[in-house]
Amino acid sequence: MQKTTKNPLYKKQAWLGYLFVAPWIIGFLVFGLYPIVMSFYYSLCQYDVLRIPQFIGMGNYRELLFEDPYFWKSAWNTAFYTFIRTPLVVIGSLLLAVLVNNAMKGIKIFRTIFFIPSIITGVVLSALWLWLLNPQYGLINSILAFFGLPGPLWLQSPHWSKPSIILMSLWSIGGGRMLVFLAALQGIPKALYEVVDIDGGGWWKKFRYITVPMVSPVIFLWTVLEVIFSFQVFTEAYVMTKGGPMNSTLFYNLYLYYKAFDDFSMGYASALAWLLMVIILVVTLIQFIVGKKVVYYEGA
Amino acid sequence: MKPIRPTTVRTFLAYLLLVAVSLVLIMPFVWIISTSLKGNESIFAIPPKWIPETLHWENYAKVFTQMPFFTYMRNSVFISVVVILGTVLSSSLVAYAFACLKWPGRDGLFIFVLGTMMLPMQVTMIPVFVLFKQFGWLNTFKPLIVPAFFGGGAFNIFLLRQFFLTIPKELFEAARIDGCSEWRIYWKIVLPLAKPALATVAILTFMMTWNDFLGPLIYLSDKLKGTLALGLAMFVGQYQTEWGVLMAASVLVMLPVIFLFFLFQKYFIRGFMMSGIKG
Amino acid sequence: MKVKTAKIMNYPEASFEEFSRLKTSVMTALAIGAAIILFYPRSQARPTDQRTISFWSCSGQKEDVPFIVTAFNAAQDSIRVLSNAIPWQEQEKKVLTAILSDNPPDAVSQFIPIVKWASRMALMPLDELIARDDFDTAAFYPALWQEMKWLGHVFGIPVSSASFAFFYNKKLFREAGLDPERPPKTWDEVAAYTKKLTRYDASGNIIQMGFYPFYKSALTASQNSPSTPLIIAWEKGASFLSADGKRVTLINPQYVEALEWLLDFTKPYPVEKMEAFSAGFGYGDQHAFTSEKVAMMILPDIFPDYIRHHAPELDYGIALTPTFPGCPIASSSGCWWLAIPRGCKDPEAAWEFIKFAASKKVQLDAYSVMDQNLFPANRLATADSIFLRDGKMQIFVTHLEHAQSPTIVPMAHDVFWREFYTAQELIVYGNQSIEKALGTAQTIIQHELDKALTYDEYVRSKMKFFDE
Repeated sequence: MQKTTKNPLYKKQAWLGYLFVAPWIIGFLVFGLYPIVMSFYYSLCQYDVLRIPQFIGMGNYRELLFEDPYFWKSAWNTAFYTFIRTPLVVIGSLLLAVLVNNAMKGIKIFRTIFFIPSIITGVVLSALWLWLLNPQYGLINSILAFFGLPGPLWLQSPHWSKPSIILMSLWSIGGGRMLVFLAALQGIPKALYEVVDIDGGGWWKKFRYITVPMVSPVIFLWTVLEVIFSFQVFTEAYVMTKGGPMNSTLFYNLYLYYKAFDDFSMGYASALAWLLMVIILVVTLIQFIVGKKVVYYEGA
Repeated sequence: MKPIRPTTVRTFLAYLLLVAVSLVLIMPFVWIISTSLKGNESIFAIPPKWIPETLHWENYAKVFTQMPFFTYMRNSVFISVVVILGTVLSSSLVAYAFACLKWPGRDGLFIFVLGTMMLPMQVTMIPVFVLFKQFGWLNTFKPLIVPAFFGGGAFNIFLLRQFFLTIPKELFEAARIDGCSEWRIYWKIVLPLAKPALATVAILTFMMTWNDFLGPLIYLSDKLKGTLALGLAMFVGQYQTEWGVLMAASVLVMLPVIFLFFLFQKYFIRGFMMSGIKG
Repeated sequence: MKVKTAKIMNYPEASFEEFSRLKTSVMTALAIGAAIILFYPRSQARPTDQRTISFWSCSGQKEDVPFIVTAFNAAQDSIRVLSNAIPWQEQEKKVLTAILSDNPPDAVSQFIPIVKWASRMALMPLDELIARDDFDTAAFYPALWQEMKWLGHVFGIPVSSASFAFFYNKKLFREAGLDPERPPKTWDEVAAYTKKLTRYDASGNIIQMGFYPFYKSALTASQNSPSTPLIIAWEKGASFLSADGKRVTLINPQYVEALEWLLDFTKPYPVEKMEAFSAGFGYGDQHAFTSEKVAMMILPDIFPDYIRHHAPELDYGIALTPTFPGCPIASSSGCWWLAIPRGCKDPEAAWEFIKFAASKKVQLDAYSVMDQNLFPANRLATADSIFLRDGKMQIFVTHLEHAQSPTIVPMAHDVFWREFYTAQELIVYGNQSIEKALGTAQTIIQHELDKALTYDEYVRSKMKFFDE
């Protein structure tokens, strides 16, 4: 197709492009612009929500970068969590999706069973895992003891607390993520696999040369998304560990929450938030640059 | 991937693997059900009991007396259904623009859209609240429903965009040559092809809305306007929590989601496989 | 055209059936939505002859509607209170947004330090109403009443509090060869008793401990026991904040002594073993005291009921908190208060409700009726014979007279407690020196306090706080 802007088809597309995207733009202008601008303004102020903001320029940013040990601590905790959890969870979901991508009898039931753990949330999820990971009578340590392995203190140990929370994530690999991978897998044309069959290749060749490339847009999608979500991890630490022990699970977003809603330092919290956004944006852009080289789009 | 034509050994191994994974993954849910049938004494008993000695079915009955369950369910259903509709429609429209149309500023805007997911909501929560107060929408469902019709969220847009990108360009070219309008292509070609993706968006949106607690907390003041997620939070107290009843309530709240997931499976079994384009 | 495109896509005709099926499901969904709208809940109509006020309390109590509300509604006809429970963990967000929305409840019951709301202009000062009605403010325990003030004005009325006392397990005492009628009177005795009362299993794990020193935030909260070094420091006369409220003195000699005592106490017991041991503490019949894991503990006044509920066979006694020779006992309070948010529609009616709830008679009634109720804040109520009838309560009354408020640094409350517990953890578990840990904590708290005070000055120079 001609790409010059003089091409009438292209011009029409451009106009339609804006039309189709209009709902989001309108929504953003109405619902999104004001809060985002205000939160940036607050990041330049001392502000406690119920009273008036006091403008202090870059004071918050300066303080959190150069004087606040918790900024660095929480950033490190969050980075640790993000970069270990993301690959585990993306690969896990993909493998599960491959496992259930067939028409075997009862596959619907298996898929549903895989899905269920991902909808357990909130207080119940936390109570569940506090119990499972209890060093004395939790199920996980009982199983380890059965195999003669020593059970760590999990959520009560500063070294194992983050791995505990990452472990919790693994139970959700059968959830929405797997669903998306499943949908992608089902879009791969049969013919491609038949080609490998004719060539005499086995399941590994199929996986490596057909499945993964064809699904790569979705793998990319979830890697980017999981990084964005992981950077904002909050609930588990808030309900179960409150940032402990010894601030080992003080994640960035938890620290932000404490600043915003316990200390009512909404200005400082806003600065934290904007800095986080910049960090996530940079990491995402890097992923997009790498992705351009690595991801295969059938429609491209 | 084509449906496996299994040899006996292969089938057996596959089933073995499926069962093994299922046992591991279902274990939390089993514990929840087991706890929901326990009386307060044995909930934290050591060693833990999987099957309680007496089955306290009354925990389930208590759920209905301790919270206006059906009212909350009605509210949750209403909000979720409307949000799903709005989300699926508007996010697919917007994703179509990003994936299937070319226009200046497209990629830049897309990154911008993604950017909106990166700002933690804790700091926009208060200004958003003030905004809705100015609109006069406090204590109504509007703050929870209306935004869904305006793009449906960066997450869904991103998801659908990736999907739409996997549709071969030849299809579009052929349709356009035929004189199909973009709207027609969207409605009659892309949407049907993307059914698994749309079903996924529907399920994920349902899950998120069904479990959303913060929105109803700050926007709804009337007791009768609460949602199920809010109702669950009421079971946790300062000194005491009735764990058995809380678990029972959670099971009840989870059932619709499980049910819906099971129903939507049909979009995933048949699959919309493109048989490939020749030439 | 339709057919052509279908052929190009090599697509079965069935796709158009799919499309119409999609249409049907969309229509059905819309129909369901419409049906639900029809049955949409409407707000309840308010009776026009009565004044109605709304009251927010915390969820999780057995009673859906608090006793004071029912009693008030029953006692008179001109004001009706509509009660709404909010989730315990989300109180602050809910109240915050309510005040922002200019549509707050008329009366609110909270646990967090009142200064948090009062200094942010969220509450109405009550001085005028108190003076006008000649409200008896001396009826409240000093520790609780002090907390209600900020900048010389009163913002809330205390309704209930927690009070603590020293519980000990008589059966375990006997087993260890100790006299069950002689609980320890000093902390050194506690240490000595602990040596006798602590037992290990074959692998060297602690299975029973005489006294468990509480130095971790999550643990003190879950087991309802205050921080041990804090109590000791208070007994020695520690002061954590300067009189003018501007300087934090986390590093003070008494607190340092308390921490040194704590380190001394924990020396015989390996820290990892203690951590593993405390991991087994739970709720109800798994609580450290009710499950007889810990023989001596400082616990709140709801515990006699708690124990009767979960471990009725437990043979225990209640005594005064141990202290040091020459030092008075110390205890912690924890105040629930009622206040009127600014912007409420009917402050007069709310005030009537509050006076009612804080009165001696209602407090006594509430205490008798409710299960595991908190301690009344009204001294006249606790001095009454009805209250003291089962003998156990007198000791809690004594403790409350000696109690100090946990709102130690009102303008930097949460930061103070976060740093306080972090420092303790680092000292006991992380092997950091006392000077270093306290030094870091104090710097952070002081910094936050300075920021808060500066901001407060700025705001008060721009906004009018009191209508004087």
